Amino acid sequence: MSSLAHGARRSLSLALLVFVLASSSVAAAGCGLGASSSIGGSPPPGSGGVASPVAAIPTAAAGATQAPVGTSGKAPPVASLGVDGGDPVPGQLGTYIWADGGSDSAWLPGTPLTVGSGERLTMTMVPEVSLRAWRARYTAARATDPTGAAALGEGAGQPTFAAPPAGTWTVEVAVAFADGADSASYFWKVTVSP
Amino acid sequence: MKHFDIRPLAASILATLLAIPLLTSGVAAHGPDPVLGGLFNQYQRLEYRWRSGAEPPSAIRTAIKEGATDANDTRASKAASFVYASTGSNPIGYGLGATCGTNGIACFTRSAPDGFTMWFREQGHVFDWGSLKWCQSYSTAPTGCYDAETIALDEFGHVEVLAHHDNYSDDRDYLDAVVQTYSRTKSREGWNMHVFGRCDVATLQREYDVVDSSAKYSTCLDIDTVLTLSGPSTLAYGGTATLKAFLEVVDYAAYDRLGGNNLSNRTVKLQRRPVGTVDWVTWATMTPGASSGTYSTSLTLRSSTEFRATFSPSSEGLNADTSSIVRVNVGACTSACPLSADR
Repeated sequence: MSSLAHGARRSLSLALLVFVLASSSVAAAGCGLGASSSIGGSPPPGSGGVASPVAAIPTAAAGATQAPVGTSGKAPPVASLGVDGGDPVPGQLGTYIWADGGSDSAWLPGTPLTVGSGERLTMTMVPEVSLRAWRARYTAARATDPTGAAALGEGAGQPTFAAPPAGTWTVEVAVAFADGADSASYFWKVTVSP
Repeated sequence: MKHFDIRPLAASILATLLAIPLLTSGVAAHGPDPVLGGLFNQYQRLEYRWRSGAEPPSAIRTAIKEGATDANDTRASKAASFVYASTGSNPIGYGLGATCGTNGIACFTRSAPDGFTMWFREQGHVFDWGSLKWCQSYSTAPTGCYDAETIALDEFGHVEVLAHHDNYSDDRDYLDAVVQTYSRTKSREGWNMHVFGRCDVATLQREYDVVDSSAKYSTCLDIDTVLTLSGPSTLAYGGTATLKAFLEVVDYAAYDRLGGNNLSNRTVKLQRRPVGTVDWVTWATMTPGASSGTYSTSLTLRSSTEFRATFSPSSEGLNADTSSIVRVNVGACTSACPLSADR
């Protein structure tokens, strides 16, 4: 009886500890996320588009205008973006830190990719690597920098997020690799059909 | 009765919850720049030369040299310095041979503490987004050009140890760092920054240390301090008490080279109150001592008094601290005493 009571108290203590830590962790995460626009927030100026629930189908990938750098060991892995059932499209590799070096680039227009409104986009990497964190955002397709970018999502693990509203956008997915300070940004020019 | 043990579940949830801030910090956090692996030695002199067959044109050479000078002049730390020497072991190249990523306008490799390389794309290089324009290639820099001096400073920052600054999503903190994921072009604010930003400096200070105990800490840092006060516990009536304070950075491992640093030439104030009272009165600004981190004040006492020292920093990334209380018990008056004195 005494042992059971002790166990119950310990379980309760653990539950309380988890609750307290949950509150503080969520609050802490909230601080980090709070600066970003939420998914489905206001699109960048000039978009005029609103996400439609109408299901849309396939991804059509025009060829990338520039081939991804690849995985020679001197550059990050190739990242591809696609929707369920569609062909993933390799993105343009922008700024990155990788191994013992890095490369600084402009905000890129991105590899063309067409998706349906309301579809969910998922990024895959070849070779598969672990990600510490990712963040996806989008701007008007003609943007030359991230000013006014709207958030699509962020988190850990495999990047997956809802497509932006109908229109044509530049979507950037920035990733932090699990190893050290390595990071990279990938771009797609995403046309979301209504 | 079967007891349901939630410990494994709780541990799992706990681990997940604790991981959230860490996982999101990589691309969402704000603060000192993240770091790359490996450091050069403190004050290491890194000599660079132009890569044979890939020398930048004169205007770009000048801009790169000025970028190196900017790095040296504004690192505010014991970070490495960059000096041009025709026989330097660290090549900087320009042009078609650049080994940057396909879309890179400039890039680097580093192998600390041995050396580094750097490349800049050539003027007019055609990217998907347009042709590269270096502002220094024009007598009047056009809108949309990249300032080669700023880009060079960004690359030298990488070579030191700096990874790209994590900006807020609206980039309101863009000017906090030169080492940016996306450098701005003319005429966006910050397109021609020629000094390290405060969050670049913060990381350089943390990784390489500040130059001396009087140096200001970057306001991008959030460093705890500890202030201690000592003095005599007893004193004869009318005697002179010397109160000594010592100010230093708390020695947290996370502070890297800053932990435990003495802090000199700060404003440390001495407060006093009669024993048995509540309110503190600021009595003096303590005088910096000959030894780093030390401060002192001497005063004559005719009654028992409590003291404490306070440090309230301004314009630097140190946090305030207040010492514990030192009580000085003053003996009774024995001769020529005022009527109010204890005898």
